[in-house]
Amino acid sequence: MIWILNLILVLLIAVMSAYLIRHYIFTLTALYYRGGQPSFIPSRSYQPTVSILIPAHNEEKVIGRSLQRTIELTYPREKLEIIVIDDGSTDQTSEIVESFAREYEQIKVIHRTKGEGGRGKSIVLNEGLKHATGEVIFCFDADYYPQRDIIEKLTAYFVDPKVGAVQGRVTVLNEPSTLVTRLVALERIGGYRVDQLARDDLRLIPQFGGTVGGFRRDLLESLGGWDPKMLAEDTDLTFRAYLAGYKIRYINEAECYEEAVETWQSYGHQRYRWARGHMQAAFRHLWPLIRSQNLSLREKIDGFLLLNVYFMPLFVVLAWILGATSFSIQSSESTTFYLFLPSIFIYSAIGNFAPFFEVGIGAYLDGRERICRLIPLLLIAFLFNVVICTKAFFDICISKIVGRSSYKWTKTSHRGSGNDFINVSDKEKGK
Amino acid sequence: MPPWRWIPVLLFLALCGLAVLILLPSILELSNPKDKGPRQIPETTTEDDAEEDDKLEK
Repeated sequence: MIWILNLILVLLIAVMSAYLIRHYIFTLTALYYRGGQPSFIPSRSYQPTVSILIPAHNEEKVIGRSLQRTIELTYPREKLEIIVIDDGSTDQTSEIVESFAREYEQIKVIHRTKGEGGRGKSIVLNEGLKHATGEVIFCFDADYYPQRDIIEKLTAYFVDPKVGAVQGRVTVLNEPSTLVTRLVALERIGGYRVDQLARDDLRLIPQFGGTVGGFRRDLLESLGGWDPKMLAEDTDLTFRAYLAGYKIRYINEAECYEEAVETWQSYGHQRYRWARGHMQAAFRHLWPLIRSQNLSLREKIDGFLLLNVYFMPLFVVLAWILGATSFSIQSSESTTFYLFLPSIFIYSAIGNFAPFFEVGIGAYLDGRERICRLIPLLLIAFLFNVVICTKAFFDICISKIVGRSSYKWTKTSHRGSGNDFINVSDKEKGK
Repeated sequence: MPPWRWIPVLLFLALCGLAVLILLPSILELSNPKDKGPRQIPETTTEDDAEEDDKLEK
């Protein structure tokens, strides 16, 4: 009986070690290796037509500033169209969007009825895709506030015919608002400045994040657009693109502000959707990923770890329980006891801190040493994620057994925080 | 009281002390934030480059 317990524990430690090695490789790559992504060079010879899709469901507090920003973009106006899909909003979103559309011809509006609205982002984006005419399709959330030359930076990489999609960097705008926004900002720094950049540098699988990024139109159409059944439609598209033989590039220089969730409740809803959607994508793509001829071995390894990343909090809890059980029932004279003791100590000393190391290096590279003082608080977010991921796992298992999903789409609401930081006028606020 | 009975109490106190030690910098920063955040994204980085390209072409 004890040997089974020990075997499971060894396997868990092996899995956790694989992730800690991955974290350290990414961190050291972001810190020392800068050969992979040259600084952006503006190209005037390659400027494809671009459609920007902005789904909006009850976004009156943010849509004005977002649209004002899109008309300030430096990309040639004749090659740019902005399509706002008003997803059955019941607030002032329609009126704000219409007023912009009347004033600026590059802005188009699609209205969905109140009965059709609020059923998920994928359905809305597919609706937008039907009306888009651009060779490249970008998605921006309604609360996003991009850098003015972001489209030039993102489209430049489509010169390479193998690049099917691109992803830019997201920075939290309302960072000082609450403890939650500060922690989300830290997660974003680690996730983009280190994780995504290293994956791009190492030619692994940079992930399309669903916003501040875009797809080659013909690829998106050949993939059938966004899948409404998938909760993490971005992860799903990432893997479908790779399985189709295309690459995704992350462009660290293409930056955009976002409004982060401000309360633990909103954080929980958002992370639950991400966790469950990611697990859903893992069930769908793991086997095709292993069998695919279109991916290199390193891409397969990274893809495997990426798909399973939301199972990790579950594994950590399982390792804690099994570790404690193993120690309590084993004799301190047994050989396994002396094998486990150092390995668990080593993992606790360096392994558990790998994600925090990643965030810390990201903050250091951004020149923000002071924010590193908040890194220990990420433990709270981690423990919260343990609960969320466990719930997501059991819910997805139940839905697989029962054969129907019990999930009801919950949209992240935006309050227009952070306007002072970017000097947004009253008109853009929708007043 | 035999000495071993103090062990859980001492362990608990040590754990609390460790938690305070780990979280102290965070608590101090939260009570008096000195971080300049959020990160200031440059408005544009290509226009200067483009102007330089034009000058070089001329």
